[in-house]
Amino acid sequence: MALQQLVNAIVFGSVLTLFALGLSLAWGTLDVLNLAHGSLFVFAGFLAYEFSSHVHMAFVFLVLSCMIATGLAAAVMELVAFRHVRLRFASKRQAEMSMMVASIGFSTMLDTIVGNQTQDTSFGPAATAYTVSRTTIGSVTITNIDVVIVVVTVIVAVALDQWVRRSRTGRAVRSIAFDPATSSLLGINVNGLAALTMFVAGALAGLAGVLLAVYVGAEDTTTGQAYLLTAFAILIVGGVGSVRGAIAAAFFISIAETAVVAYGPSNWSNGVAFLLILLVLLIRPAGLFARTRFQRT
Amino acid sequence: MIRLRRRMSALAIAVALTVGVVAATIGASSGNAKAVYSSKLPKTINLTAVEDMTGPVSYVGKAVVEGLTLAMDHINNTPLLGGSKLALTVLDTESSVSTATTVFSQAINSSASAIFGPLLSQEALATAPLAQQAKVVDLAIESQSDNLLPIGNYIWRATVSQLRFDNMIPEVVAPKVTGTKSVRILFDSATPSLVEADAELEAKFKALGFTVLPNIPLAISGAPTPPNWQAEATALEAGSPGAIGILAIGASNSQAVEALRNSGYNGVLFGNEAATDGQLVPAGTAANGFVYAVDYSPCLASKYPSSATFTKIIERSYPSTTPNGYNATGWDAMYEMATAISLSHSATRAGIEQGLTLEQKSKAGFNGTLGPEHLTGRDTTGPGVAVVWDAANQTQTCVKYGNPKDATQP
Repeated sequence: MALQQLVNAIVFGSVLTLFALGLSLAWGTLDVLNLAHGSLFVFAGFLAYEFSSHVHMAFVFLVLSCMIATGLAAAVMELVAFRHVRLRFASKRQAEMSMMVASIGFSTMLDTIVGNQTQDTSFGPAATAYTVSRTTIGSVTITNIDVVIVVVTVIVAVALDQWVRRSRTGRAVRSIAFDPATSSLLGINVNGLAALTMFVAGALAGLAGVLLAVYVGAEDTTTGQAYLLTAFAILIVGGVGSVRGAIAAAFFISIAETAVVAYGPSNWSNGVAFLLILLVLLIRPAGLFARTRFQRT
Repeated sequence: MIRLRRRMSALAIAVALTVGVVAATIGASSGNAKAVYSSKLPKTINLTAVEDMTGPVSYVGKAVVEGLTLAMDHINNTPLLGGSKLALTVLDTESSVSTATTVFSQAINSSASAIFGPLLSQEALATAPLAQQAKVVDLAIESQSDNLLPIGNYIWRATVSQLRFDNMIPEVVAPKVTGTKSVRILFDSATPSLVEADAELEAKFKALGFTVLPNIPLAISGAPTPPNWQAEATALEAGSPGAIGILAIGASNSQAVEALRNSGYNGVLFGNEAATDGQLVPAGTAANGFVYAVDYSPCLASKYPSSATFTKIIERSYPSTTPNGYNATGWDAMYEMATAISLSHSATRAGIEQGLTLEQKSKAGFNGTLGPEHLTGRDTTGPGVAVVWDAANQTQTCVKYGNPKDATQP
């Protein structure tokens, strides 16, 4: 049972990581605390349900089409609201708060669309979208979707980390968060890069949404809210903007919760996980992997 | 046009049935079968429904309001309240206790003659004392906590508590268990009625000779983190129980079922009435054979004529949806309220409370959406039915009917 629960914790930690990475990208680089991230995640699950109910397509195309749709939705948020807020406010903190409020508006809109289309009942991808099969090795049972989630998380996390830390565009994106005006004077296409970053963040929400829909089988419009709050805690514990910190914090929370489920009353899992988060923040207030290269103001 | 005529004829049948029931009820209570309404009633009687229109149980709130609205339209086209018309205002609790108390206070301070209370037990328990203090009838809908009605004489309930018919579940599950006669239950510890349902089911399983393995309380409603269902499935399977119960709400039903089947569990699965209204559809074949008990099911149409009538009306009014227990509760609640107004000849807050008391004292009961129904204490009672989910056809199959003569199934 202990080994099985360890596998469960790894898979769940991967799901949390996938979800948190998109949020981390937008917040850590553009200072956009996008509270619509959970709604984009559910929107992807809804699209997977709609597409798979009406069209038969390979799973990889289903995932890609949902990622593109949610990526475009996030880019629209940037073009319609976040860009204008960023340009209008001299104070970064004020801009951050305004973008957060704008994202609540987008979140409500997306939830309303999905709620009306589904009669607010639960939904999941058609059985034909992806056939879940399981393998038992010794005392451990693992499904093919478990493997897909872990592998995809590793690939995405490494790619994102490298893009943000090493690539020219990644560095340019980070400079926008630091000072968009100076970035623009240095020849960086601020608007284009911000839209690209939001597209990637939205696509990551879409990827997590579809994989989770297959993993748990059902979602509803409230599913994203619990993930959003957890992801928020992950980013704070990991250190805002740190991909490695987000991964470490996601697995930290997952293992803590799973241990409580395995060896204690399940309804203490949230309490124990958040108590540990509190302890971590008391010791390292800026998070486990806080960046030291520049100061968020 | 032909469709409209058919609908109108169905409406006429429903009206005739209702007036007959009301007249019979009045005859039993006051001896004056002809006086079904009073000229003292105002032209418009304002009622307010404080329901969960958004949030995790909004699918319930919307279905209840559909039932309330449809019944109100029917009543407004009958002579039940003379020339008076009912008007309904709907306020959204957003499935939050704090919002529920805020909007409930608004309803109390409005011109509403009575209030249809919120769905979630925690919301209902928080708002009922406000209604009692303001002396306005709170006809609770769906909230099933045992602690609700003792709050006071202005608190009534239109929904048959699942605690009255859940006792049928172990009797349906027991013969299906082929392995060890043991059971383990996971329940949403944040929903009081499910905590009570767990205790009741465990006692009944014990009485049937089952070994009850330690239960798993899990805070689902309003929890800050999503459940790790695969970890819960592993914990549920420990000790290889012959049957596993999932007492959850909303999408959690499908998520738990999917996790258990994915981990290789082949035993019997059962749950509670929150698994109704399409909540098991996303789980596909994994949920086939899931056992639960409900107050209303479309399969009751073959058992009780009044259920059949209601089912037909709902199907005609909302052709794209399957009638469900929440529609039924809304319908019955509006009729209970209108009948109370008619009986007391008053639409004042105190008058409606007196009318409900008259309904209760009549003891004749009424044929509602659930079949034979009664007001027992201040609680609506009905026989209930245990059903099995047929995943292929996405329908419920009635497998055990409750005894209409027993308010609580033994």
